[in-house]
Amino acid sequence: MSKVDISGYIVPWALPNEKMPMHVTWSPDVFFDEIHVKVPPDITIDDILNVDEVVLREHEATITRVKPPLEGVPCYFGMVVSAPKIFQELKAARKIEVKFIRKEETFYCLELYGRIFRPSLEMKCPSEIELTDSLEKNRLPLSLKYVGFGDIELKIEATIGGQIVSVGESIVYELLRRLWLSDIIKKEQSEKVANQQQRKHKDLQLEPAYVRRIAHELQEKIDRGVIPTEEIDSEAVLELREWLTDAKTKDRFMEIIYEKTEELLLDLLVDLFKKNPTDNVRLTNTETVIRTKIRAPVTTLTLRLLYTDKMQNEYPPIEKKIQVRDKRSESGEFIIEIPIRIEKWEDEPFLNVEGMKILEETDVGR
Amino acid sequence: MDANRRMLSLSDIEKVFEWVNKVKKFFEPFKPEFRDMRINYRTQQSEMSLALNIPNSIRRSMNKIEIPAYQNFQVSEMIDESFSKVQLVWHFDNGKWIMNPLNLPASERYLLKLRGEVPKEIVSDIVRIQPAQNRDQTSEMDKYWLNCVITNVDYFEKIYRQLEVSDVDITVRVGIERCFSTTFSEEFKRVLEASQRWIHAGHGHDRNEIQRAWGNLRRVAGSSQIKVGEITRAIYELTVGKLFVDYLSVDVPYSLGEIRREERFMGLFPEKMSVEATTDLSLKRPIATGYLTFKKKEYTKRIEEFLSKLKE
Repeated sequence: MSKVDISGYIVPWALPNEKMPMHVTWSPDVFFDEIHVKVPPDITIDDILNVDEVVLREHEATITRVKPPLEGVPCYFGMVVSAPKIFQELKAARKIEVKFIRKEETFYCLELYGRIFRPSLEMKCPSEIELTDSLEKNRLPLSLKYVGFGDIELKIEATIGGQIVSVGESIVYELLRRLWLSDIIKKEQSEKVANQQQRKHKDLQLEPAYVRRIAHELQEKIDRGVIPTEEIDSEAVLELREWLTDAKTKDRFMEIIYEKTEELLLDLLVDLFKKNPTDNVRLTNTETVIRTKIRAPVTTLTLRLLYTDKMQNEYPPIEKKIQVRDKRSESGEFIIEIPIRIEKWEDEPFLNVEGMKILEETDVGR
Repeated sequence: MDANRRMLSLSDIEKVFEWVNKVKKFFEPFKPEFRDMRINYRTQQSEMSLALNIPNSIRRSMNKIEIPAYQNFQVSEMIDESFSKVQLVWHFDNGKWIMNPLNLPASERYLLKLRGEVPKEIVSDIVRIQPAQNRDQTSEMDKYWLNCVITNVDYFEKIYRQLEVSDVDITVRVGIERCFSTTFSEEFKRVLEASQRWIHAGHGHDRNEIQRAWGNLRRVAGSSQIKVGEITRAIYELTVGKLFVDYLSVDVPYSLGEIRREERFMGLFPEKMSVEATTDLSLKRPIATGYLTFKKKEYTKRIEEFLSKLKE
């Protein structure tokens, strides 16, 4: 049989649930009755483009009529497929078969591979920690490793007896809260104290024009009602929003901004660094602190790492039980703070997944 | 079916372009012929060319032509056979486009360009666009695939024989946060954190903490003074589209469109750059695939150069 001019394309990588567009083209002299497309059970067909008649089942499509060849217009059909479940494997290839049928016989079979990648986290942490009277030493060290593909957002959570006992600290929230508090405190403080505070700032210098620009940008954002709400709980948002939209506050707020610009800038800069500990991981909260009362000599704490990718896919959380031994001389009724510290990060992302060979692709027989 | 895409039917298209056939009827004595049909994806405007043949014999026998502005269509241009624009022959009055053939220059063949609007949902049904959600990375660069396709060539072939969808734009959010955070040396970060601690201590009433924080700051920073304003201004300058474009490339048939910072609160530290890749599709080339590449290593080097100047 003479060479058949049929070719296909599918995008070279995708996350779970991400639509993978593909298309098949052929020259006008390719004559056929039907085109059969078959995808594996864990792949779904989401859409078919540029066809006249198609019978669509979950994992199969039979194209019974394509567009008649038009002069100068390439013959093609498009398709969109996706992997709706999260695979165990960090890299997977799934075969998509496109068969051209004439007189009930396949005269050409094209194989395309949907290549799905995912991220994974590994955690090491002590199986028990001791609480001592030296408060600064009470902490929970973690060692984390990222492997695979796909940038993730990571949230760390601790529970005792099913109750969440960790608090995510956000610097952006913190700085807003501090501005808010300092406004309230300032109203109560004497001039003398305020002057003392201002003097402490004089060593850090900023160009006045620059400060004016920042203040102006911020003012505009407040006027438009753009304040960072995603990281703050709803009650605090309401209070902050009220405070920010109060006309009197606005003037006061600008004054505070002028006084504290360098502090804000530092906060945001440090926040930027801390939120992105490695190339592929972004933390929901810059710091997470366990804040609770530990009442028993030995308490079991559950640490959970929850992460999502750019498609908002939630991966199975990593859980670890940690025994907290209370060796404090006086314990029980005090709320104790145990910061969770990521002390070591290992980053092993897949590089160049486009050129990566995946097993299923290489051991395929026709 | 794809939740993002409705099934477009021929009648949807016909409804949007109803005005075209109505207008065409008015020109029947001039043997109108469609030449091209162009939809601008960005502006959601359609433009089509109608070839007309207006010999002198017909011209003299006709009074003015009046066409109601169906669906607010506009006459945008008229060109004669010497490719010169015909000026001031059309005018709009009382909801009608009016032309007197006697005012036409000495030419038999004309090209009339008409413009109409296409609803956004129709434009986005005609073309399916998608960028990769996640980059493919190497140590040198981040790559995103781009995919655009005309969903059904038939509609346009049947009616207009031609179609071009211009300015099809795909927006890719290019992450840059790591380029900044890796460039700032650990030493620099320690100075920043020490300054932060010292300033925060200043707001509290714990005199010991103020002393400790000050000692810490002196220890890590030595005698150097941190110019936070300069750092943030550097970040601002490094994320201007005009500069950032040097670190991007797109494969043919794409070209780079608008590039802007994605602003977070305060608009100071953008974590992503919003980059548009643009292409034109047509019946002859209904599919466009390719990559957008961000040369992150080169960009990081540029940041380093910027920062080293600040440290001097």
